[in-house]
Amino acid sequence: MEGGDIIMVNYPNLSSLTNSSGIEGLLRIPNDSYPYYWLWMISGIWLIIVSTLYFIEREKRGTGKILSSMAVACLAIVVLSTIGTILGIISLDIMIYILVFSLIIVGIWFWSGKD
Amino acid sequence: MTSIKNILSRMIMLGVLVFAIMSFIIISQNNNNVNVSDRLTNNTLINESYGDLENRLNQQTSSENALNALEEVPPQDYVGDLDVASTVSATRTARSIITGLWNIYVKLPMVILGVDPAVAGAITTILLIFMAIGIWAIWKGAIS
Repeated sequence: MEGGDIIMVNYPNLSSLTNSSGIEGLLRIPNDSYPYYWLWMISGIWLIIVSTLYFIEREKRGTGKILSSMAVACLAIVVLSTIGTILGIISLDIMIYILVFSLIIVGIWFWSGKD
Repeated sequence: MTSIKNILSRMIMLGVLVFAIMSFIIISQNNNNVNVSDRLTNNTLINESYGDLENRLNQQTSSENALNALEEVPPQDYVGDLDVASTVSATRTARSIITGLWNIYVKLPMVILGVDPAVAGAITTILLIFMAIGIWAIWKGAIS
């Protein structure tokens, strides 16, 4: 085309989509462009669970324990990330990060309680 | 007021909880045919504790296998590492739970943070000495 502008386009990597990939292939698309996508998603879910538990407790009882909310949310995200590894959207590296983070918080929660 | 009974019961509860979490992840990954490269037991530290424990418990099906589990002693710990060796098979199997907890809580964060093994060994040694002194101090009533 005479005098036309050249436009560079980046197409998303759709190699995870095949005839038999199903919903798992669809969930795996962001991993091809950014490997830590689902780590951020799970961190967001963790934050939502923590703030929900904490603020509900604060509303009902006047005070809330942030550490116990964090620990309970950690248990939830461990289960979620295990399901993620079964679906193939969470790799071992991310799983290890989640596990270390969760277990440290659960450990502190166990040791910090009053007698 | 912290007592030995309290500390021990918390340690036991925490151990059971961590063990339950780990076995939940490992068993559900094994049963659902997750890629071998994505399995939690693919990590060296976790495999040498919890993977070995799972193998050893699976081995206890016949007397011959139990004897093999009794005889097999791979010495692979370095200086400063927590080593609770025993000669009886059952406690050797249970030892994996203790070292597994230790691996998860002390060694795994060090591996992720990229601490050198020698430095990790030194920190572990200092930590163990302080734990021994702390338990002794609580036992003697110096800390209440």
